[in-house]
Amino acid sequence: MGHVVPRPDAVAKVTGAARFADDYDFPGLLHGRALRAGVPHAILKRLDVAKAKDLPGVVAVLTAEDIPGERNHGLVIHDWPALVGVGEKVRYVGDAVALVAAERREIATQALELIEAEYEPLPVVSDPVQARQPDAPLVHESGNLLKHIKVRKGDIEEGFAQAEVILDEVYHTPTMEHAFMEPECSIARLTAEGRIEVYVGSQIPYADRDQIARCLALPPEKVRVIGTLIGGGFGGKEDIAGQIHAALLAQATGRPVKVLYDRHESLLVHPKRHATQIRVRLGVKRDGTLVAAQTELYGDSGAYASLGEKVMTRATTHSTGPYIVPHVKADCYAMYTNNPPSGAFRGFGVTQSCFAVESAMDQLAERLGMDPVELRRKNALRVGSVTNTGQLLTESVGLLECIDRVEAEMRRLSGGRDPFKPQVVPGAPNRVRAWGLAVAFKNTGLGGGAPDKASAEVELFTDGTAEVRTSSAEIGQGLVAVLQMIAAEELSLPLEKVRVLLSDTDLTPDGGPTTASRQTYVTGNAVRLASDVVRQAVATTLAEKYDVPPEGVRFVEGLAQVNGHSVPLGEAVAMMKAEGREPKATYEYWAPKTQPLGTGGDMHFAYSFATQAAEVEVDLETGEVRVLRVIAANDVGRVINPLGLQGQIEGGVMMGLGNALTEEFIVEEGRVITDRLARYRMPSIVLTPQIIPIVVEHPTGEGPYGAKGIGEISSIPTTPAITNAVYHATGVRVKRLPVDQDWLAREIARRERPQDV
Amino acid sequence: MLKLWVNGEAVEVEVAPGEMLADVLRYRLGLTGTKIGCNEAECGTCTVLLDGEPVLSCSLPAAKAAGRKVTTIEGLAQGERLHPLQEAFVKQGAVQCGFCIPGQIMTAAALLERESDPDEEVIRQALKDTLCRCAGYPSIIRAVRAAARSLKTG
Amino acid sequence: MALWKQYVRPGSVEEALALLHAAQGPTAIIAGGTDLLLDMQQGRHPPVDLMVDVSGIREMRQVRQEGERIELGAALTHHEIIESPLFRERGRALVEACSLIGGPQVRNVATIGGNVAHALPAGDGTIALLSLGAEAQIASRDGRRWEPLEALFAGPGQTTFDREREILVSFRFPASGPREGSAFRRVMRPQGVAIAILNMGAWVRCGPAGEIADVRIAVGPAGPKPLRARGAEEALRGRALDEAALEAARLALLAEARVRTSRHRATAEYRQHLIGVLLRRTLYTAHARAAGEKVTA
Repeated sequence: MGHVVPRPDAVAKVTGAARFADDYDFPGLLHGRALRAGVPHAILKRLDVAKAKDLPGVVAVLTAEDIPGERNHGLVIHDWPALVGVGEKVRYVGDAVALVAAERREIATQALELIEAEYEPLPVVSDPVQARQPDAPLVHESGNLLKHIKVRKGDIEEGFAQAEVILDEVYHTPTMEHAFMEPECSIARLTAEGRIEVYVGSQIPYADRDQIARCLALPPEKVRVIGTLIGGGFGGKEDIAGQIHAALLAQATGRPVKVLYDRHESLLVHPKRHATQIRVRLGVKRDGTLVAAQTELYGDSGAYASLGEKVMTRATTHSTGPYIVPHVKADCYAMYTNNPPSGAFRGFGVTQSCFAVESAMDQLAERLGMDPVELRRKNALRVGSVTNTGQLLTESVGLLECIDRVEAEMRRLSGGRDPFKPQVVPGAPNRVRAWGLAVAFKNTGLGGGAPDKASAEVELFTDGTAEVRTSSAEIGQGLVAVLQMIAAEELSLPLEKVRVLLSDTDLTPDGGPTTASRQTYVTGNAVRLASDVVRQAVATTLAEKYDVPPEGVRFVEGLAQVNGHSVPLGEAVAMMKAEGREPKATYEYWAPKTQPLGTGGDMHFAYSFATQAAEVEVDLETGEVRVLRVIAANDVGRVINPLGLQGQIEGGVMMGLGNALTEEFIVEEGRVITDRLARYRMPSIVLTPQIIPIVVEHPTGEGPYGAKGIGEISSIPTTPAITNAVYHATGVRVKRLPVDQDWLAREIARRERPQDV
Repeated sequence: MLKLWVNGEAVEVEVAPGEMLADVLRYRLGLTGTKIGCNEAECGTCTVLLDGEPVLSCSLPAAKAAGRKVTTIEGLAQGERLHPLQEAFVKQGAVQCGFCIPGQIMTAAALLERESDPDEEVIRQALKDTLCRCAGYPSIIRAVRAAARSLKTG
Repeated sequence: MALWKQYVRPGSVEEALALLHAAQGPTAIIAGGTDLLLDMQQGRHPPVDLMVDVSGIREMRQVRQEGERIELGAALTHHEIIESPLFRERGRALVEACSLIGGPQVRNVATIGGNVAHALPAGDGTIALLSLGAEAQIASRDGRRWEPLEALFAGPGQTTFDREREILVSFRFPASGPREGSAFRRVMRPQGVAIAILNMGAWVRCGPAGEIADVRIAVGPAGPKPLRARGAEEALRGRALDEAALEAARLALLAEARVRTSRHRATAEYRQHLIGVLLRRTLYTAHARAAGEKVTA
């Protein structure tokens, strides 16, 4: 543990041999495409597919009536129609109304243009605040409120009564796009036995299987989901994309069908990061002690539920920051609108609320005349603290160490100057630099009372190798290497003797969703424990043969040492097989039980903590912002693979930088403006700052070797660290993301010429 | 019939009107190492070398490659021996989801043909339009520098 | 539907013209295709029967210096322009503009002629060429003609020449000599489409006392067409480059530039503000170069 291991899939990925879904081909492959409504809210009045059917090369055209099973899919609530039928409602521009399978992709595209669809437009709900108005049009018959989420602790009135200074601010964050490099692709085909196989790069293969089966009216065993490599996910490949469409078309045509999204379709259709409006009200004593925190959040969940309730729950429970606050009241309204659905996106709601509360903390520090680091340190969660949901933290709270180490590094790099005071760049009077800092926490695992479990199978072979099997997604984060290392460690095998097979619902047991930074912890533990069972079985076999107690068998580097004999593991496996014992084990690991929000107790079994400081340079004339350096400390419990950790930290910081400076998914009246990649700009290499990682290890008792999640926490505090730095450089407070240089330049100019105000 | 050189071999391939080089490479020649990320000349994922210079194959009419030399990620290694860039990308942890990597490596390969010891700024400018959403950019920079060193020392 | 039915690569301008005139259906001239193909793929330009690829025509790929005038073929790529020591020495604004466009992949195919023919009010190459005082050579069946670059533009994306029947063959501009220098600057928005919020090219000739003996300024987007800012030039000509002259030029430029708010991109107020910022930066750089100082950025 803790040594650098290159990814097992890296070589295939640098030679071009690695296969993603669109790289698969099958004889007779058809190309499937979906007709998207293109209107945000309407009744589908008429649909005529006759001309499309007549186009040479078209093999099938399907509409809602052709769905044999349930119309709707969804990860939590089944509210998302695979196809909208005539007389039914379109709820966003990406709703599908018809499917085409054709011999070539261009023919399928042409066929879509021949389908006649008529809509009766309905008034559009375009933002979550509007959605909650009593007279707002209804997106769903059940109402626009997906969920009102409440956090209560202490007595908020009493808290504010004690406060000597109160800050009250409102922040806005826009919709964000995952923009994984690989657009969604699914290939479905019928097998000779009458089953359906779907090849797809999915973050939750078993959920895909069940949703496909329901729509096709098949028992889940009749569907096999085979995971391909995944060209990035970030939460955007948890919901159904083309899986059901491909399966429906394969079922209808009897031929393999590929449904590949182009970038335009990907931008329109898949769930995004929630746009939010977040009000933060903080009450504090003059000495900086927080006494009350009240937040009100509106989350734009878009047209369908997806994981909206869960995302906004996380946003809410994290909305008062990783701080000790005796009196808390938080209310969140997760609302349906006619915008593209919102769902999981790295940070899972916490990205948004961290920006709000960490901006507020900086403002509060200024109001108090206090150092912003000191204010955070004073209130930071530590072992023995109780969170705003009533959870007593008993271990693994490395926040103070993160703060201390980042601060020390920041002050060192500032060379004795106040890092929060603007420094003019020598020779460039129009450019100033300053630092900003922010802290964050993020749960590991599903939490909130959801059963959080993973199964893994480990098998040994007579050639001395082992195979780990689980349906968990490798989306780039490095899970394969982590599972390989864990199995190798437990079985005392060299790394190269361990293979990892992921995500085949026929061959690999369910590892649960790849979400909530949970795979290393939950599936990692499943692999650790399955390996342990197998190892004990080997020990038992050898113990019997050599007549020693099982504890007398030692495992070293692929050998079992017993009674002075050295038995290669492969031979031991052969012995087991000869005795009719299976050299494999499946372990279903259940993570520690958690409690639902509102019931007190442990809402989550672990939290990761982080602190980041960013140094920015602002051009006072143009408003251009550059991030020069980022110091990122993360308490990850225990490092398993430093190389994977490095990728998560660098990538997390860059995604946070994009969140602050470059990214904005624009939807107006339900219509997507940023419907091409050219209009949605993610950070390129030229924006990369120097990233200085600091690893903090406060192990969590139940995590594998003490590890907890890193995938999300690495990204969360970057944005407010940057916007706080912008404030320190310019005196302009960013309350709306992303930083708009146009606005910033005008604000700076106004401050310099007060007579113009 | 389109005649061109692909990874050192003469190739004759039937091409339909309107086809781009990426489609020909992927779907007609089975060279699926070249990925299509956006199909709108934005992301750089589809980068291949045309007569040694990086181009976006998703938006390059296949006809433009007639009689010219195309190099894809499949043509970079020498047999079993990885190109120093490929080796460095593996070692430096520059590979994550891997989808952008063929484009990164091909763009960097053209750079290293032209400049044997590029500094960080030169590397950034060369890769400015080759996006990585896992955003392992610092690792990518380290990998290109390591490959440059390795190419120099042989 | 396929974007084109037939793709041809003629070897000469005359052959290309003959193909264009013989064609029955819609045609398009393609060079690098970086703008055209996206327009076609995204439905902003209809598919054509005949695509005439001029990127291999030798005459359109040449650079010639005749006396103090440089002529460059319209099919030269941005990359080729950046790499040329001649342009670096004697047409610096063009090199700076071309090096800011895209990444190497785009610059390897996108041509200077394509940039001009696309007729965007803020085409980077176009603005740079305008500030260098360029003329353009158009070939038609009736022969060849030279026109001032400014005369090619009819409106946003619109040209005065017939892009389906005429070919933009080359450009020429006076090579910057001693006591002359040029520069190009632009400001981009970090979000959204990679088109300049405002760009500017400037060329300056220094007089014996360091005063601005002559000057050309081009700016975009400052109206429906790329703008040559003659009012600002007039305000500067013959004056020392000091705060008063700069302010006079800024006011003149604000008066002749028609900047507006573009949704999701920039406010008119910001663009007006940037006019002053870029004018100062571009002019100072061009002037310093004219005065013989080395200015890289």
